[in-house]
Amino acid sequence: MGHTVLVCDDAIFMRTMISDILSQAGYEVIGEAESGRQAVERYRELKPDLVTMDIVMPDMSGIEAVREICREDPGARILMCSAMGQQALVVEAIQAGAKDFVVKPFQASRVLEAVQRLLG
Amino acid sequence: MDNQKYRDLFVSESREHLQRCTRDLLAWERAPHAAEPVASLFRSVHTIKGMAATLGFATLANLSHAFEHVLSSARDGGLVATPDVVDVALRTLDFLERGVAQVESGEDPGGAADPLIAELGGLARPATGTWPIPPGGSDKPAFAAGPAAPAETTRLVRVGLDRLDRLVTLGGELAVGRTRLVQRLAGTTDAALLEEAHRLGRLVDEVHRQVLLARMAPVAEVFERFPRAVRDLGRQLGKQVRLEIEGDDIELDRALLEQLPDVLLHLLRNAVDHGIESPGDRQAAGKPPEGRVRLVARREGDAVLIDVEDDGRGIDRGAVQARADALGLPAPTGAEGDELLEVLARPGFSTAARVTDVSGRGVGIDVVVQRVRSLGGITELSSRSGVGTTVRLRLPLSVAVIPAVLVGVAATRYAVPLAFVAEAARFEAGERGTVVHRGRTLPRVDLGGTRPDAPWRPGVVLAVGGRVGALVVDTLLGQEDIVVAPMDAPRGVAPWVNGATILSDGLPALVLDPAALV
Repeated sequence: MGHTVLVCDDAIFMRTMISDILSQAGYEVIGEAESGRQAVERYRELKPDLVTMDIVMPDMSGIEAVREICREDPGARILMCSAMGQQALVVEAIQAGAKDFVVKPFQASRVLEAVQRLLG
Repeated sequence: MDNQKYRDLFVSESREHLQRCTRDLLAWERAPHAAEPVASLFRSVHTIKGMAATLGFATLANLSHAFEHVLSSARDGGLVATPDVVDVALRTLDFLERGVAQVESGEDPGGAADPLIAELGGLARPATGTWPIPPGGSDKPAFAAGPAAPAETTRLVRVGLDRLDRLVTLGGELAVGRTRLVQRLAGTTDAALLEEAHRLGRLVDEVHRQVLLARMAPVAEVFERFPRAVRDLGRQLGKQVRLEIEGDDIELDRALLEQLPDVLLHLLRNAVDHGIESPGDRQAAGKPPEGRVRLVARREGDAVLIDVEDDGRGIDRGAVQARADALGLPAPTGAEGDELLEVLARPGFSTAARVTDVSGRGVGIDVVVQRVRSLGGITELSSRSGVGTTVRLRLPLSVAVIPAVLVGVAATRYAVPLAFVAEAARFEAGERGTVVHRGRTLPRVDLGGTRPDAPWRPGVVLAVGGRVGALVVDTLLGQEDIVVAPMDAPRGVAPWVNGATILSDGLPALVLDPAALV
């Protein structure tokens, strides 16, 4: 059985791409979210094994969403997807509870490596 | 590798963001210290950057990166939106827009972004480094994509407009066929057959309605570009102008919508160039230095009204009078806006008026009036000296099928669009050229007929904007939905005929233009 993933990004482009990478590797993308607030709601609803989280999103940033999700579920496995030049924000996200990060623009192999590491 | 899928997503999503960017940028210029427009701009530019970098479009990614850097300077409070900053930002958006268009047409985005990047760099602390592009070049993103995951957010399909048009035509013919069938069955006593025909009729109506709805699009698609255009015009003319838009969610048939940009742009140019005064003149007149132009759309019954309204100096009736005299044209007799419009709209009148860089020669208000009329609409004008001018376009919701009253005059049948018919009536002859109706005297419109001297004749009351007239005919034939075919009028056709149609009995009728009659 593939692990379940929730993909959070405000760009359809990025969501489609991440979903493609993950589903081709056998993961099951069970939901998407386009804002921090939606990410929190969807997480509650779907209880995915893993979340990919963009940082810059409207209506609650990815970092706030991480904080909120980890407060409710300290075991949440969240992978930050950040753009280059946001190192400070990545550090903040890790402090908030994110487990790892990948940097955009993505390479599929990097994304999959990080996902495999997180899901053990 | 389905690279095309990502290119398509890039194009549609970038377009959306670029439109939002223009809106945010203009909002920022209006409130140079506001945080929200900058935050929203930042998010959009950031998203574009991420997509461009992923697809390997280095130029666009680097330019967005430099722009994003300027925006973060603004967010941190070091930079405010002066007109010069906004100019550079708008040119950056133009560059990105061109890049997106190139991607759409299958090319890779090109052009030299370096001068712009340098200009952006001059506005903020220099950006650190350039944006990394994945190895492998632009056509080979460094991942392999599988089949599309079902996206939950998109429930839209793209359909070619030609296909939709074909459906609209078929829907129209189907509606006519339904009417014809019902007429054929008028004499039958077979109740089951009648019921079946009526059921079919309702379904046909619904199909027709839905097909027309599928062609509707919000006027926002056209309005979107105007805030930028008005701002640039104002800058060019040394005027302060704010464009306010209302009702941009109102929907119109796409066929109408496509005709609107030129018409509205012309009216907006007139408003900014001729209507709005210079800041000095405005203050001297006791007005705020910033002029206001409003573009308002709203539904009224079966019509959509679009107003272009300015709070400028109003139309100078003296100058219009003088110009009319000089050209040997009849001058407006009264102060009413519609009479003024009639004079202004004479071909050549407004093109002969003052020439500026902006309004230029060429299209005048006459072209606007004609274009709107060809769409089945009318143009109205009201203007008060020193207070402002409003031009109102009254447009039908759809051009494809309209309900009409059929009338007979001598051997000819005419269809009168129901939208302009106030009521059917029996008119008693009044004084020369008039009829008396419900105690009111109305101007009589007579297309000839077999009994000109009868004590009373049937007809309809036409109402066009505020104007009313009595169209007298020989017979009232009924009401029908007609498909109007636009017609290039052959020589000899009366000016008040603006189309032709085939009625349910398969024979043609002429479509009257009430605006030309009253």
